Amino acid sequence: MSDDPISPVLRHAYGRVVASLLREFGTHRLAQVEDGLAQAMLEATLGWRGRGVPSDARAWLQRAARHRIIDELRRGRRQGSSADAAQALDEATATEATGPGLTDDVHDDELRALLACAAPTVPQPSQVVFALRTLCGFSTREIANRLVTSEENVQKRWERAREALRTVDLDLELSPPEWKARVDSVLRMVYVLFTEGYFATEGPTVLRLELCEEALRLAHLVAEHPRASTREAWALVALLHLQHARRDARTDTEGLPVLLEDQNRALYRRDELAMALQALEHAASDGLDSKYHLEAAIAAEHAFAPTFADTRWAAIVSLYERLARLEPSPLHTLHGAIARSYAQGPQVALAQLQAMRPPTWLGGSHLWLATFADFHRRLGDVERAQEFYEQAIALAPPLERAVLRRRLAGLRHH
Amino acid sequence: MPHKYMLIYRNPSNAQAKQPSPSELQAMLAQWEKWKAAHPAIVDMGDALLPTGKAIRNGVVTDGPTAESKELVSGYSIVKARSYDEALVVARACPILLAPGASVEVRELAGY
Repeated sequence: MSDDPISPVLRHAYGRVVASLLREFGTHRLAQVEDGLAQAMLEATLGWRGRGVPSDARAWLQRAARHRIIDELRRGRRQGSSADAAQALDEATATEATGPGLTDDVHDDELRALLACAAPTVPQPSQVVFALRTLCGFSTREIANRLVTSEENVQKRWERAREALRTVDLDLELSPPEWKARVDSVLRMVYVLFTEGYFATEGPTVLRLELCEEALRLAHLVAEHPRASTREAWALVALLHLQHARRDARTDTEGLPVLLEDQNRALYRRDELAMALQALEHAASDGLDSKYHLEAAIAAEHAFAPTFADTRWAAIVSLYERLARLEPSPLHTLHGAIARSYAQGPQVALAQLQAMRPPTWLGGSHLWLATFADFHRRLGDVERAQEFYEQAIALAPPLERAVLRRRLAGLRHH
Repeated sequence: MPHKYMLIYRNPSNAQAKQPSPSELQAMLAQWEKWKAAHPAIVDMGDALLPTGKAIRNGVVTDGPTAESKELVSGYSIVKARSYDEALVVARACPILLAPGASVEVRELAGY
């Protein structure tokens, strides 16, 4: 079966059914829920052959999976293996009269599942896998392809999530500080998910974009939920839209990354930039207080600048400085220095970086070296620029290597 | 003078081990729709059979397709064609054959 992305209709229907069934049967019965759904999917494979995906696919899957799960629990009770199964069965049959949970707010169920998986006991790499598998409906293999890792690795992360979720309370009777912490944790997870798709330097672009789209969907889920929404959530929604709106300009026809200064800004998606602005309004407050606010503000400066040259570089420099104060990271300093090189000239920026002691992972990375190369190139020091480009090329991942090679070739022509 | 032929699908009985993901299922359904659209000779998409059932032999009712059989009949479709060759063109393109170990048997209906 090919791995081309297809419309996410059935994946999302699947995710919503998992969320509803988890609320009904409990996160500790994740394995039974998955087994029941797998059976339902198999029946669907046969039953939908002649007519395609029906419009009521979600209701159909939920009904079929629910019956399978209840059958399984009955079997458990007959064998007297589990008091837990008996109790679940009583609860399940009690709700039967009111319908199998379909009348409930689906988004509420999805949010519950999302908050559950962001529990502090679940390691973050497992949170991402859990969200992709249960809420987004990807298989282990599909997740491995998208995260550019092995199926075994994904399976391990998945099992760790399932183990940790045995004890998670899905009723979410959390104290206000716990609630806030949990929502923050969901936002962090969604941010990581988006970054996986946005900054990945391997794997087919279309598959990576799917991760970005899923991250956006989940971010909206949190931001639009009356109880979970925070200004940070809206700032994250804005940030993701601002980045994602630039997707067509970020890669060329060969799939190579296009540098910001070479991007065709007419390709930025205006409708999504408008959505970002709306989200920014919801996120607005007296100050830009979260990292998402600051990153969204930076992204907005870039997205709305008419040209690269007309970018408000000084504003970006000060935003990076605030970001570095809020969340100290040498990466923010590096990006700030790049902005500074356009605001105050490459000499000032170079001096700033030279005065810095970067950690080894950064100082020995292609990012750091390529920045030095660019600064020297713009200062007209071809020889040193060439040295830095060559070092950067040796360390860069394939796609970025191609871009740096192009730069180096351009250098020799001048 | 066209005749009706039944395409009888068989899958290995242990095939259920591999569950489709939602995207795979959707892609699979798209294949069936494509097949249906490409071959007007298909007069009835038929149906699929669930893997459970009952059997009566020598007056004894037993559960389901026998456990010892390596293959299960998993469904059927009906095509109208002038010859076996024509029916085989449709059968060869059938998406059931994308499943590992699956086979299609083509049989002419007697027509009474």
